[in-house]
Amino acid sequence: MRPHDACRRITDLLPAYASGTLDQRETAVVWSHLAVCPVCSAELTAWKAIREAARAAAPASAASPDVLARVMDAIGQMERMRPASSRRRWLVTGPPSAGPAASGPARGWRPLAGNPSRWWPALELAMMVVLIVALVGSLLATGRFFPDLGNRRGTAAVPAARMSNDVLIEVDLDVTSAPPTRLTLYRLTLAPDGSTAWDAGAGPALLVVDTGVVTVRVDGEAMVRRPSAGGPASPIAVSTGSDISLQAGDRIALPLAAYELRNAGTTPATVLGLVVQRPGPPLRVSDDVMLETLAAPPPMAMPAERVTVTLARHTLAAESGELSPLITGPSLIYVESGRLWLEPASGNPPRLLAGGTDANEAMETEAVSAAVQVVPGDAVLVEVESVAAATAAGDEPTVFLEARVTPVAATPVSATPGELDVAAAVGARLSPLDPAVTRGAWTLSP
Amino acid sequence: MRQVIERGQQLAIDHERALAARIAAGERDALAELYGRYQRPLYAYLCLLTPDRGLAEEILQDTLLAVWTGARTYKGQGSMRSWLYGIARRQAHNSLRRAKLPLTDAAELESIRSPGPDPEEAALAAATRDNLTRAIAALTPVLRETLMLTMVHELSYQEAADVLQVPIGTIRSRLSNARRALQPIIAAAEGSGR
Repeated sequence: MRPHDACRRITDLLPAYASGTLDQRETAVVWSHLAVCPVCSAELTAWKAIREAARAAAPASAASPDVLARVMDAIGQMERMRPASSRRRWLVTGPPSAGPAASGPARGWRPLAGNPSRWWPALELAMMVVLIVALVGSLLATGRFFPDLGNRRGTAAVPAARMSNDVLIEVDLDVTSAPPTRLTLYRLTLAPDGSTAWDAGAGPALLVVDTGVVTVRVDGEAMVRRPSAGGPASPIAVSTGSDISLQAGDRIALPLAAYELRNAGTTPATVLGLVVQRPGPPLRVSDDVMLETLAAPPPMAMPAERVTVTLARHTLAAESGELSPLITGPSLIYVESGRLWLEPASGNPPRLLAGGTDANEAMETEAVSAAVQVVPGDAVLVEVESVAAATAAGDEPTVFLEARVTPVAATPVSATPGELDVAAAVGARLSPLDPAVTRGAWTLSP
Repeated sequence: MRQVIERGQQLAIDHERALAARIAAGERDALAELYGRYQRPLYAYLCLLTPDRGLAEEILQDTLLAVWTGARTYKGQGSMRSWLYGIARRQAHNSLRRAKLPLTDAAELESIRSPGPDPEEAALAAATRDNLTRAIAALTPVLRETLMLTMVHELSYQEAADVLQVPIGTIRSRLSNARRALQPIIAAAEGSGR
């Protein structure tokens, strides 16, 4: 080998020699060459200077100490939730297994990547053992095997209700000639004596009083459900121009009409509002009312010409409460408390909503391609049959709102295209209604 | 002596394979051990890929989760270090893409230079290590990454090639290009040293 070729080969190795990553044989070759070649020795000096400068350029700080703890939390949730969703295959009876508390990752919702199939079998076996132990424990505790023991142990192991689906309020709408429409979920907070007019142009609204006492003045007919007054489950009609006093838990469906909300109590009042929002004038409230946009997906196509718009509140028991029947979509989900584990089905993925601080702008969406944990404050747009499972995660019940649009089941009697005949559509579904106020029309036409 | 070194290397390889197998079996202690061993260099590497330290930490978490779920794929054919760096690099790539931060392909990166002092201009200044450090910071991203992986993180050429998914010859040529870019600084230092 000519000296020039030897130097070229050694030069290639000098960076690795300087950083000590050559194997023993190559190290010996370079070392031997350096002993006789001043050019390559000088080059090595240069590389050592570069190495020192590069090390000085590298950040010396370490990651924060809780990184590992956050990862372990996330792993814990993966282990609890993945088998929970597969439990449908074999968990037929028995009390819920009591897992350790889930503190969850520090960030908000986080898709948990990876395929856990390798530890499913082991975990399922372990879960079965835990369930068997829990079942036997439950029987022991409730005294079904040994009454004496049961008396001493009390009734702590009685399973809680796994879930509840509470339809807050719903109305039928004719959307035959409506433009693409979006469901928007708001929360209004009114200070004592605070009031606001609601822009009637925004679209029909379903309101639920969560806290406080609110008076609604309606310029047009409306329908009220008042669980607080022990009234009928069916909505009652309200005459035009009425002042309606609503307490926590009461709901009201408002057509396209001007109305005013006033806090009639001495504490702040919060009102949930689902607006079937048309393109057009922006939604405005007065300055002393706080308007939060909880969920504002882009406009969507309606699944039928006549639809039922429903606002429901679901509660899933801690750890493994599972939603049934599943959300079929299109729906808008907003998690109020707890953690909701959503598994996407194949096909149209659900879409997480983000941003949108402006009440009149649609939020950005991100498709959910893997199982996702939705935390309070997060919203998801569920496309048609896009969810394979919805399960509670964590050690507290999961409560979430669902705004859904479904085709009207019954054929209405008579409805002008583009209008909703309350007598035909609402009256047929929500009888008894006062016939005197069922002649109004709710429309989504521009 | 050589046999002793080779035996030590083999023991290290065996230990890494066993560590990966324990992680694959669901042992969290093993993941914590791996984290303790590699968190500093991995974090330093991620800080090289993004100046956002918070984002670098998030990517470090994603990397660990990916290790947890993918440990069974590590067969010991390459070093665990290059396997980890490769995962970290892919996670960084995904995160930066999700965050809509600009990503540039390697071919483009080869032709551009990061903002900062031009090495040739810097060579006119006093030949100090600080100048060399600044000149390294001004290298193109791919040259800088290759240089840092080999000189600071002490990856072998093959390991660096595995991480960057390029042929080993590309590593050599990138180092040669980096050396050429830094030559004015080196020459100035040599000149002032005489």
